[in-house]
Amino acid sequence: MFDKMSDSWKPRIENFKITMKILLKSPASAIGLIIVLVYFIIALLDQVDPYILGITTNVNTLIPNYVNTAPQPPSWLTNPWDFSLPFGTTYPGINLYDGIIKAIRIDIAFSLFVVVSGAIIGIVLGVFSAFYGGWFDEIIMRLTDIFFSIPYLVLVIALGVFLGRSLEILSIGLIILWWPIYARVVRGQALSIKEQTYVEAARASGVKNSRIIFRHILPNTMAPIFVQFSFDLATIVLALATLYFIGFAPSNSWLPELGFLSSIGYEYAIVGDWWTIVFPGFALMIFALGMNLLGDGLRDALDPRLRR
Amino acid sequence: MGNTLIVGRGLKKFFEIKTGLFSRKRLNVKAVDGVDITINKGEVVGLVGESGCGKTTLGRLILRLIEPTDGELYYNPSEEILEKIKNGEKISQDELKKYSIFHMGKNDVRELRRHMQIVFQDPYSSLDPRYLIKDIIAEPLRSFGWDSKDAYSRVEELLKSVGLGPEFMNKFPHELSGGQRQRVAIARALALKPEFVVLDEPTSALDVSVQAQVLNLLDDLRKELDLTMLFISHHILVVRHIADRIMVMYLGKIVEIAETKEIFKNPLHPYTQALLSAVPVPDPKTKRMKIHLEGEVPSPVNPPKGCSFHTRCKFAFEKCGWTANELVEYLRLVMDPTRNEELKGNILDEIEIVSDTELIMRFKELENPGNIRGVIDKEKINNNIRAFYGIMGIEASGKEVKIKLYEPKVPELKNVGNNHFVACFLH
Repeated sequence: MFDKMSDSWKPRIENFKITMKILLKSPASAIGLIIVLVYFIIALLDQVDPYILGITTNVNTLIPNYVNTAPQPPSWLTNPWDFSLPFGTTYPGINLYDGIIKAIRIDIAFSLFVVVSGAIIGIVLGVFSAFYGGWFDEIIMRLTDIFFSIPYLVLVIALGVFLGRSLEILSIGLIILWWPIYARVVRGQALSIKEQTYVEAARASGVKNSRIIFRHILPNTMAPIFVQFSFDLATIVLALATLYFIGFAPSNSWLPELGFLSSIGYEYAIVGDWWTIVFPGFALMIFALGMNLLGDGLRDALDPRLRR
Repeated sequence: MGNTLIVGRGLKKFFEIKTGLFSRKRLNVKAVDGVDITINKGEVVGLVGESGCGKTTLGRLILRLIEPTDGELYYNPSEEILEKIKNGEKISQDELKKYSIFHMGKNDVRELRRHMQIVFQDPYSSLDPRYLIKDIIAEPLRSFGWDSKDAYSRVEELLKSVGLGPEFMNKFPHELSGGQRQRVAIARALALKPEFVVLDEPTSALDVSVQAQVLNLLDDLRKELDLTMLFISHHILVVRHIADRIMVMYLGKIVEIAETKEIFKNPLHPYTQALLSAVPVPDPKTKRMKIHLEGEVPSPVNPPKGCSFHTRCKFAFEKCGWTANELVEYLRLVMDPTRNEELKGNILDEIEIVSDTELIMRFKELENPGNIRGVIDKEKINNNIRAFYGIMGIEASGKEVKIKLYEPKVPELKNVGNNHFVACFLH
């Protein structure tokens, strides 16, 4: 029995290998993949055991040090062999290394939550509206039109004003705005897939509609979804950082977040303490860059025309 | 009898197309337009016709893969129903809901899928690229409740019966050649041991050498499993190889039905004759008359009145269903005095179409109304403008000439003996 199982996995693993081969063929997407992996590993390690990464506090907030609030430069600037403060500190006395590591985890987790929720809602609505068509399709598509016309900053800030500025409200606002793109992408794909003969063949075999939708149509629409997914992971992190940078964060929040980290020290950056904004800013930029490079690579690797 | 597997009466499928601003205009593509079909148990019926004539639609209609516009269709009908159909009695709504594939509920249709299956034309798109071959073939089994162990052992059996080894179980469709894929599609269709299989051009996407293999396989399987088949193809020779009876389809209608030998020996419908004359004969010494069909297939949105083949028919005569629309261009051409000197002094102004069977030519000057009939007759015979056969009468009054045509009638399928049915006014 076990042999049979491994037999049927073999071609699937083979397929995965082909994907990886095409992905790694281009140096840009290989770099993207490495960056993304490094970020995810950092986030995972921080979740499992932050001590591995040299962080001594196991709390979910930034720890201000009001004794010495002025930013201190990275320790290796004065002594090349001293890595006690690799990124220096920012106002008010926050260790940037601790902050950035925690912020990477929080940002990725938040982004994953928003994008996965949005994608699930969008995929389900999109595939149903493509399959059943008619007035349901019409309603869903007009809804997506409406949501596409709202700038996300405006909606999220408005929600924050009325419902309170918290991470939960923020995620709800972003999910509301992020499912329509998935609904559209999936619908477009599903419209062409459902006309394929193999869907008709499944129907002729007596396969029920729900199985046709979830086992035949959905898996074949997934390639562009993965691509969109990787772009959006970066976009949501940037959106969250933007909101926190412009001061959306609750006033008493010490949430580790890359945008927030950049914003609290930037006044010092102007007077010469460059590390207060450069390190959190670069952490953000490199993540977004890695995700986008990976997304571009995935687009090629999952393109059926390039696979054969 | 108890011998009839499938009976369909008045099968129709119109596809609606919307044109114009805000889809105001709605037109119907008459893909299948009133087809009667009878298939007996254990028989292979070939369905031939050129592309776009609706043969694939008919095949899908029989399995109700597309929703019909009209008609009734019975699978394995009882004596009672057969008797009623034969005598032209009306079948009550209750009976329709219970027995007619077109009227029964979705779940009943699904149950019937155990008995009726289809093999599609293109083996490249009929297999889900993300499924393993064993899962593709097992799909009908799984959907009717087989557990995976039984299903996979049946799959192995099926692969063997279509000439593929068990090593194909764990492959993806893209690793297979066209012929192998079509074998997989055949195995899938046979998985549930159906009685009736529709083969929708199963060989036309394949190389000629592979075609022969697949055809032989189908022939073997048919004998082995006692299958009833509807074999759809645009290639009458492929059908000859396998079919007991052949139906010829043109523009959504069946124009001729006969046994295979009979149809090759004695094709009656001009369209069948044209199809057969296009078949290449491997002997270079044989000389035959070739019938070239002129013009395009008319649009199924607006098929010709009467016999729909009359526009391309070499033998079309009065009754074939000419309409005023078809005559207008010819009349303009012929009424030109530079072409026909007899008409000197007649200057045509306009032609008004009153109805399908009547049109009026208005002349600015009409000096020799008497010559018009002569010119039309001359052109009809000399230049073979067959549309003029449709003219029933010509009347001149003042500067107007009224032309009346025969009422267009649709030819019915008639038995001309020997179980040979043809829909043509010539017979």
